Amino acid sequence: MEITEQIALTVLMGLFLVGIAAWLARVENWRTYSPVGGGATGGEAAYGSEEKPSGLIRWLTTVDHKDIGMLYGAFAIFAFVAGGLMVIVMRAELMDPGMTLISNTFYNSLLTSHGITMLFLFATPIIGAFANYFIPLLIGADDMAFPRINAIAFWLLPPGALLIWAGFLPIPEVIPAQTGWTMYTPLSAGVGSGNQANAGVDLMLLGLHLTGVSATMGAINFVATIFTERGENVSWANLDIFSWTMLTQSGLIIFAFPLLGSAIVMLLLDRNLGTAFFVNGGSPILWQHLFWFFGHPEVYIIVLPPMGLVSLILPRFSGRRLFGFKFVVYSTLAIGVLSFGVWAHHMFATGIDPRLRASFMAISLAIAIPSAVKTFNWITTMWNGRLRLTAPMLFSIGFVQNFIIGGVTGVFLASIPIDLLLHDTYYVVGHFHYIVMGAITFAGMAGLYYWFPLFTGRMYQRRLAKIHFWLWLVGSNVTFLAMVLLGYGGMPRRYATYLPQFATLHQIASLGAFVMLAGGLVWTYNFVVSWLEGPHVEDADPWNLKENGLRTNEWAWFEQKRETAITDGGEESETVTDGGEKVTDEE
Amino acid sequence: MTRSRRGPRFVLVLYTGLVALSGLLGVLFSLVVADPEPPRLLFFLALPPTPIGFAVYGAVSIGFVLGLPLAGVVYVSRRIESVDG
Repeated sequence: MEITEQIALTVLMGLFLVGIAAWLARVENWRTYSPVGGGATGGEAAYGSEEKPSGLIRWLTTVDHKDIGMLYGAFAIFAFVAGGLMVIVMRAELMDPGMTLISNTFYNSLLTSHGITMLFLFATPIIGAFANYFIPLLIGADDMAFPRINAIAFWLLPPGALLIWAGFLPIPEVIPAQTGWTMYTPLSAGVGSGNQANAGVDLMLLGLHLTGVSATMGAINFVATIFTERGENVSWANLDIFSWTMLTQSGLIIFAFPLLGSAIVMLLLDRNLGTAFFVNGGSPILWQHLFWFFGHPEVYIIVLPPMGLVSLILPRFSGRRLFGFKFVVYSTLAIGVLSFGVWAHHMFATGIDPRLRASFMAISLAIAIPSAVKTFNWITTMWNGRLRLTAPMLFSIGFVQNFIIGGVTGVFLASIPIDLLLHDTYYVVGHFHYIVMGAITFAGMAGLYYWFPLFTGRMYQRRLAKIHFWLWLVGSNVTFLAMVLLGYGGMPRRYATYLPQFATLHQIASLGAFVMLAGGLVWTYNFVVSWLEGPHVEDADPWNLKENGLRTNEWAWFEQKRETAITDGGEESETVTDGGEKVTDEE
Repeated sequence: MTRSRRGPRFVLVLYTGLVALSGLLGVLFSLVVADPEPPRLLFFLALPPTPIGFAVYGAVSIGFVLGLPLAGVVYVSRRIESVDG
């Protein structure tokens, strides 16, 4: 009976998919819709068919890099909101030492999903959003090298997200994974008396696999695009800093993500077919080696492009070019190489050979040097400049500040004796949240505000943008400093309940999280309202970049687009942009 | 309208903020950790294991760690306009 039902369900799903394919084929002539021009500054924007299809069909069938960038952005922001709400529930639970609001197992589910959502469904896709939209514009390319592969890479993400979140959906007998984002064996292998043999973990692993395939396809595309599609005037010598960081990041993805995919397949085999890679006589530590060989480069995969964004944006509001451009590029490449030699610093407490530990400690300390070189150049750029504290600039400076704190706390963790004391405490959580939230997400916000006039044609409300910044800066530091102190006090990570002595610091950390939630609400309101009703941008150079010779190709494209656009004849009020007019402060 | 600010003053404010934060963290550290050992400032000067001792330790250590590169920034900015040639 059950088999008959399954066959019927499979046939029904097959018919459903065939129906969708037939419908799409009917409404869209695929063969005539191929990009033959597009983003080049001096090039011609055109398609095989005269114009894009309208409405939903445009977004479902597009292969235009800008549209795909928008899709990546929408997806990433949706995931960011989902992951953010998960952590708000967790921080609400942690207001009290006992189990109050949610069960301990549901806390573990949220903890797992928050990490995976933020890293794989927000951080990587938001970088994909900026890169897809702007890399072809910055390097003067018509489009990505492989536009259709670009579309496929994006469209792998929604099913990946569905699988990752499947445990939260009302599916009978499927529960969310509670393995933590690192999926350590033997827990994640489903052995023992726990409930992690559940299909929810398998679905999560398959979803992760899809996001990995997506990232790898995207990375191959970026490498091919930057190598082969650059405009005539764009050489390696004058390639912009964001493209350099994307090129390096793509190289890291190509070497790191396939290994994650292989490890996931091995884990799935252990779980479902009784193989013995990690359990059943295999080595649980092997999982940690494989996972962190991917996992630590992943840190740089998601931090290098934000560094590129800051390196691009910060000089534009300092009124001068990035100091030591070449050294910033060299440090990017150095980080890329060194990032593959530090993975075992996550495993100092596992009892691995002390001689191996020492070598990994040395490389982990060494990787601080190129990071410091970048910070040195950002500070020198600001030191020599006259700063305009617009929202993108504030978020860039917030990135630098939080990156310094996250970096300094990280240097201590690279030291074996300190790591053995602080391993698996909240200190580690505070440290890496300074990087992933305090730095990476701040840089993402800098990019969103900086290019908001370009991708919407409108200007956001600058007062709300600054309120957003200050709420996030204060909130993030309150939360993550409290976490660092909790770690010093010995509070272990990943627990829904705790001893009463940690209550005050946990409540302070939760307060900071709620402040960030308030900032997030301000940001959402500002973006939605400004996108719908904000004043139209009157000038193709809303940041006055031309006067200092700092305008980049994408703004030239924006100017050309505005000049060639057919206006609707509407009369619009003049827009005073955030930073559009400079008043010198004589000090 | 956004006013422009001089870079050196702004960077010094940022530096002072980070050093002050380190001092504050030192105070809080002494309150969170039970019976801490006396810190040794720059590896040789023993300080009392009190909130003030840890505040001095945190502020001076980070002031030194960030101050050295900042001195480098000042030096480089005065002598070199661009390192990219």
